[in-house]
Amino acid sequence: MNDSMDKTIRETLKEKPRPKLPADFASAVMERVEWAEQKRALSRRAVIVMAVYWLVVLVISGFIFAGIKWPWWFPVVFLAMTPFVFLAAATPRGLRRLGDRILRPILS
Amino acid sequence: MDDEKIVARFLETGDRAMFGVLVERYQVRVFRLVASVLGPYSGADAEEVCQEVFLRLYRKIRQFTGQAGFGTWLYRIAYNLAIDWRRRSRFRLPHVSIEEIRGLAASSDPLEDVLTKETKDLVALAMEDLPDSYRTALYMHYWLERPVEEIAELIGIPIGTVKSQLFRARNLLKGSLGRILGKPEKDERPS
Repeated sequence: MNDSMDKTIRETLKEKPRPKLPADFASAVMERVEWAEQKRALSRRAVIVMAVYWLVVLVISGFIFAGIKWPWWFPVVFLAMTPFVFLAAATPRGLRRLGDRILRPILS
Repeated sequence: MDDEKIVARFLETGDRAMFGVLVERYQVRVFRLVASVLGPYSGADAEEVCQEVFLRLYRKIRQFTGQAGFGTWLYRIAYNLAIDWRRRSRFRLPHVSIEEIRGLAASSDPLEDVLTKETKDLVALAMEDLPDSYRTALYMHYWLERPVEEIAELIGIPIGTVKSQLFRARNLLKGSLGRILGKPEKDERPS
């Protein structure tokens, strides 16, 4: 009976193709590792961008509450831009756009 | 260079090439372990899970204390991750109808008969129902045809335990098939 069970299992699994490790597996892993590192660096950068942004918002709001007559829409615009700044900072493409198309013309 | 030295140098210098050496060294065995845990009926892709194992290793490598061997530690990560994926993935188990089971029960001894597709489907169902460690050992032995010494190393248990797990797995399968087909279960002791 034990032999027949042995045979049964072998026969059942014989039809199932054995998985094969692709030849370029190690390089695929290293690519993913590199990408994971890039993402980590980008999210770190995004946190810094957000921190600077909120600091600016707080300072401007502080000035307004202190009675300095700045246009009312100034902090509103800043707040409304928050998600876009975060998105831009969180993606490499967004970062390039933010840098190349928005900040560079303003700063130059 | 041994594994511990490679890990130490990687942590010291951050040189990814060192990590690459570990990947090259362990990829085949980790892949076999992952494939055995997932099995031939799981919807999960062994290659993808295996990549996740090495990514997790990359993130956790600082936690390696050297108390156990590096290989043992890595195989534990791979086993746990593959078990998680297996539980999350959808299974592509064969469908066996009641009529087919009744037809099998009518034959004299289904396991001695020429194996029909239905019998194989039932065996597959019963194998998928085995406890994790039994099923992994069974797939590694019968599907990937690995020796018990390698199975013991990858699962992290003694060789004797692997043999007894294989024996118990076969007995459990016999019991399950007997119950499905309405045959009385006979207890067998290892010779």
